Amino acid sequence: MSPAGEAFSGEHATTTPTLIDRLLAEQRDLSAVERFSARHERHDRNGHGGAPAMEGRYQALLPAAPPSEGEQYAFAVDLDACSGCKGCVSACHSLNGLDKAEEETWRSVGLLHGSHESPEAPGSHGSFQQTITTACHHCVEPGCLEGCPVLAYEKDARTGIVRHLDDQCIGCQYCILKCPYDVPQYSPSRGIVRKCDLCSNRLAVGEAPACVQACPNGAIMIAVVRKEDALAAARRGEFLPGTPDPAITAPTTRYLSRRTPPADLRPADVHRLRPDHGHPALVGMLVLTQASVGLYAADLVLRRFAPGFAGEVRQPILFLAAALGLAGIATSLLHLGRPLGAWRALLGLRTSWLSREIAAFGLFAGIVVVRTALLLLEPLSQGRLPSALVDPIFHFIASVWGEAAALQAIDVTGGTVARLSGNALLTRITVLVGLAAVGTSVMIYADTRRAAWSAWRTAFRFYGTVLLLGAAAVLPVLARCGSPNRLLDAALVLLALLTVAKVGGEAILFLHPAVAAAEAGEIPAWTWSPRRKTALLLLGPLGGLLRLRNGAGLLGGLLLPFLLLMLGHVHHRIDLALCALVTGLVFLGEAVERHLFFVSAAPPKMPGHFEKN
Amino acid sequence: MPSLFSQATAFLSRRLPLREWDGPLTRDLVLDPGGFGLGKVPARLRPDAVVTSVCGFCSTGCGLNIHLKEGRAVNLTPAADYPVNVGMACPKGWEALAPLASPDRGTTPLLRNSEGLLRPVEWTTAAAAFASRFKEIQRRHGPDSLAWIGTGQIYTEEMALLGAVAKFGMGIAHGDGNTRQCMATAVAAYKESFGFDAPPFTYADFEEADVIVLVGSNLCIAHPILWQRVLQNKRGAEIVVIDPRRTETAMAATHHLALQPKSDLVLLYGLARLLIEAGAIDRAFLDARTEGFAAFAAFLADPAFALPAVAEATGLPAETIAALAGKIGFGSGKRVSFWWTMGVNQGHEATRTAQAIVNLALMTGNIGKPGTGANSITGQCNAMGSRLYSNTTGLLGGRDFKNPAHRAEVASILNIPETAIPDRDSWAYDQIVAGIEAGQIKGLWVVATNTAHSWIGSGTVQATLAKLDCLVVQDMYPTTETARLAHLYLPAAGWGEKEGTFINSERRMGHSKAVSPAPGRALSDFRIVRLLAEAWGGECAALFRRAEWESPEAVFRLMQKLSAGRPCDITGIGRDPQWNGSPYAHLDAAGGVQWPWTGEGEPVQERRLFEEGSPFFRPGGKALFAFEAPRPMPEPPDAEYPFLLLTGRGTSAQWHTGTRTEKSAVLRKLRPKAIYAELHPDDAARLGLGPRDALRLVSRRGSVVAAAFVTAAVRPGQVFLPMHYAETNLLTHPTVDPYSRQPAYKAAAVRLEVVPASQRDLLDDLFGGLLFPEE
Repeated sequence: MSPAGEAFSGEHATTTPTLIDRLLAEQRDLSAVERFSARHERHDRNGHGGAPAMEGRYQALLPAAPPSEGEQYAFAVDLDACSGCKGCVSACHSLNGLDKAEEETWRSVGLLHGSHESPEAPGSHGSFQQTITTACHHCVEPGCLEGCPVLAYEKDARTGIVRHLDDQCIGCQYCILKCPYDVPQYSPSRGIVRKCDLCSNRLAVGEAPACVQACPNGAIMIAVVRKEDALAAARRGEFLPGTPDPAITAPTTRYLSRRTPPADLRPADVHRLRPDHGHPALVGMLVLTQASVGLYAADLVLRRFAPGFAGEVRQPILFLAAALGLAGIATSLLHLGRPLGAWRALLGLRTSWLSREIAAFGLFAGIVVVRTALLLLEPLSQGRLPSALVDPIFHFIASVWGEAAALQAIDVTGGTVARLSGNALLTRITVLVGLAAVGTSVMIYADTRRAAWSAWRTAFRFYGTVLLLGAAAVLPVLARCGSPNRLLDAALVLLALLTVAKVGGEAILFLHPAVAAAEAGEIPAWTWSPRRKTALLLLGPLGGLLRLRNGAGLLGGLLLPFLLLMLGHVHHRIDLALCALVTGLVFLGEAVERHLFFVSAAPPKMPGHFEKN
Repeated sequence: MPSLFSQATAFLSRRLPLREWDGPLTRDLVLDPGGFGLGKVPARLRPDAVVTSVCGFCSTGCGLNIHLKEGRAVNLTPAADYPVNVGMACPKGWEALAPLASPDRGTTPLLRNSEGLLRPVEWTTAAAAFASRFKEIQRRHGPDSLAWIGTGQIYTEEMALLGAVAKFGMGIAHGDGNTRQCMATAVAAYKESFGFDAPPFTYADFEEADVIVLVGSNLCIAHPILWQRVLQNKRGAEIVVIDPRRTETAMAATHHLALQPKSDLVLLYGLARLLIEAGAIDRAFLDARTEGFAAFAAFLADPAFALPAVAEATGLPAETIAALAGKIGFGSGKRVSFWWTMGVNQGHEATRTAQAIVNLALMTGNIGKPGTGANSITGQCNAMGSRLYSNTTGLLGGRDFKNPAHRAEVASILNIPETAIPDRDSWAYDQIVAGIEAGQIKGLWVVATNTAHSWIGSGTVQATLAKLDCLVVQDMYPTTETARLAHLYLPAAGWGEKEGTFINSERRMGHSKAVSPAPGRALSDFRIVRLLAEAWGGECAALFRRAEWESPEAVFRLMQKLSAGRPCDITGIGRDPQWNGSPYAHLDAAGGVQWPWTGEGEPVQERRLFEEGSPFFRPGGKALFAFEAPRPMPEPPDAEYPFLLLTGRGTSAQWHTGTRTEKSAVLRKLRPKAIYAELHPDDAARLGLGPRDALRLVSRRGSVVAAAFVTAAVRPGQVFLPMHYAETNLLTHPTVDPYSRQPAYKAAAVRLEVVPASQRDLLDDLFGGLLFPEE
């Protein structure tokens, strides 16, 4: 709307330059506060400055003695006293100097609500609301710590505080996936995560954590709990209604209340369908490495079922497989906030599936490099090998495995490299290590305990991609190298079958049961299981992407192969063009599938406040 | 194995930097002792000096310790030794510095050019444009053609200067403030009942009471630090909440009376009648200190106030009402305090409702004693300053423009001709808006408020503002809904960038400091008004060039002179020689001073009015029973608009129209981003509302689409919208209380429609129409 009325001309004679200059100068001068700050300085000098002025107020909220053996510090929240002012969130932010630009907060306040006739308030027309303040639960079995590949988390032996070592962190963000309570916060500008450390520096000198100091109602306290008790309670499923299963990490926060919550108590944001982070580098890494493993497998399959033709396509298939595999592994580095620290990634092998994945793909990469080197050496070994290249390799092998082995590998007659390189055993090893590595990828996600990422669901997706992309990627190579039509047809049929299995399986696994149950009214409207949320995300906000995934997958994996089969190989150039298109579309479909895998995960979290979808 | 592994790790750690325990990222979060009694603070924000300022959001008036580094604010913590908040703050207080750093701050005046675009200009040009334009309007259209809308958000000294310059210097006839939207009812009620706008309580009354009755007040969310004071109560107080919604406060209370909206006046009269019937009234107090009780008792004989009728009207069980009467009755020896906020103030019969609360306190002798009172909890940080010194509704110092003696006093104190003081009240906010609509008012000066968002029925007010020949908006941000309509925008410094005092709900005057530089060429409201007075020229420039108007502290001394002999007398502030004649030094050191203060030395920190028989301010010193028959709400639900729309505060992280709170990243995380409506599950089921559907709320004035929060916190037939979203006032019903002229935001009839989430076919979703192309 544009305001009515005449515009100003802007030409006016009455100016007051001296006054305005004086006023602007006065406005800039902040020295007037000095006479007031002197009061606080006097206070400081009089000996009050050392002790925190709030000490007397928060002393009662801290434990009398530090934890002894088998015990640890924990937050305790008096729910009856929390009235939802959210001062704790701001206080934590300000007193810990968190990042304003990145909206960093380590504490949050949500709402649980439900309806029943509250016994303590008859005539309250059945409403029950409970605000929930939450931060890190300093779990007995912290998921973040277990998942961290670089040991950037430690659980202090004496206090039980789960502390994050900011300079150790490489920004892989796996802890974010591992924590059921959405505690670690990623800082894009720093490339690391940060989290609540229960103000361990304050506690160490008897000061209360920021949130404890700041709650006007004294609702947040620090307690000493026995770890065994926390574990046992977690195993019994005791924590707080409407929150993730405590058995996963054994959170230590104690929520205390004298109220009886109603049966339909649920978070105010339970209905919220929020697509999660898409992690494009991980999408690239997963799809490319899985395609690579699939292609190596294709080499084996061809040897078995088309031994005559296998030799023709072996080189391009293996080169392509190596390129995809190495590109995938390189892509994973882009995911890291601080890739320069990636060399530490094996430190967590003992507990972290991410470390194991890195180890497995490291091994895979090594084998791929050797495999490819042999492939490259093959033509050279046909007697055209310059001694400057052969001699160092010969001496290296000789120094490690002995001269006999070196003589066998680098046969002066030139046949051994080719024999070795052509040996199916090498590909078998590559495929086995690759499949195992994909298995570690599966476990990374399965270990988060998210419903949509259960081991078998994830395995279906990941190994399905191995098969599908192996079948799809081999097509243009076959077409290019003049494969017999029957072989190409067989590959097309295989691709079509795999496509039906994968796309159909996804629909059944991720959409059908949860939606049907809700639509049929079998589960109450307020029951929003993670699986139902995943399904609703895929049908709602992510519907467009799901259509792209299915459209690309079905067009490339089903309709075009049918077209090719129907056309009956009119011209090899057309075959090649269509095969390339098929591969591209199937890759696109899988990439979008993997993006959806991340964004539709419906991660568990603590209750939030009501928010529009 | 594990031990071997850890041994290996430990070994390697010694050889290689396998684990980094320290480094730049770790040091980023290191805490150091902050000194000044602060405990540990972020090392990089460690202060070299600290000052205490009173918060600039709500009327609680919390003290905040501002951490200074090289003279500039870097952080803040609630002041532990401030008597109001004793070391606590709500999220807004913690984030009080954040809105100052917003990138959309106004840094230079903006003037709308001939193409209709706001363009930067120099202050001299802006001030000259203001003067020439307003004078031209005044010359052509007469004295009623100019008005200003002020605020409860600027310092008292700034209000006094603004009001004096506008009325005495520029001759602007009409001035009101956004305080009309929050506190006018309490003013009208107190003035008539007590003879002066005198909230009688001190916050310690929360702690000293046996029964705390909260009427239309969501204290937990609206005034979290006052709820803290409630929880400090050591007498095991019963807390009764009277509110149609099950608010956070209702949840936390011991008793919640979820009455029918706008049935509060009937309930309060019903309670009064029950007290009389039970003889639970303080006869001695009534006889000695009040008048009009007999008439009130006679009025209550109306069968409409008999218990069954009251139960019927309020929807409350008769025994619940009787039980409440039992709790508040005289004779039990219990201290009962009554507190009200916007649920009362923003009603169509608000003044009488507030007075009905006053009447209950008077009948039971619950006034002027610890833990008692009929207590209005104010909204804005300086609503109370506005009530005494804004020179809008009342003449400076809580005086009456129509009273010649008052005009003479002010003229003599300010050394101005009596003729410069208008002898009539200015129009109220709603009358100014109507005046613009009718073409009588052509020039409007809006200071630190957001009319286009907050005024009731805002859908039409934007069109109304567009009728002005000249709209001047003075604000921190040129981006408010109102500033965007301005012809002239004046960039104002905010709280923290200027000095002055606020008066909080318990009459405590507290001092705030300039601790942060204003951006660009923004100026404090005080300096802007001085500049405009100078640009106006003539008598106006000459008057306000005088030394007694030169600085905020000088104006405070004027305010002291204006208060002399009035109920709000503050002549004692800074009088003791130890303050070297600086009232601000006294306010700062004392942790604020409650009015009145006429004495020497140190005032007692928690003081209430009317103690020990000290008289009320009416002639004769007696409080008055004011009452009137209840009226039906102006727009009750009907067949076409079957739901009743309630409005109120959303979260404690939001302040009014969000002009400042939306600038803080932390506060934005603490509130729902988009407008939402609370709806009862039964109504949701009746409407067939699906879990992904939204609601369209339609009133006779507009329609709004909101997310649906299905919750039993509202009763069937009612729907609640938070006031902070610009859309809400498209629906509200523009009616005002006849005495206070405060808008009745809390009740409007609406119709609800379901806005379905797009119902796509499952297969279509799955296969994108590829498998089963549409035929």
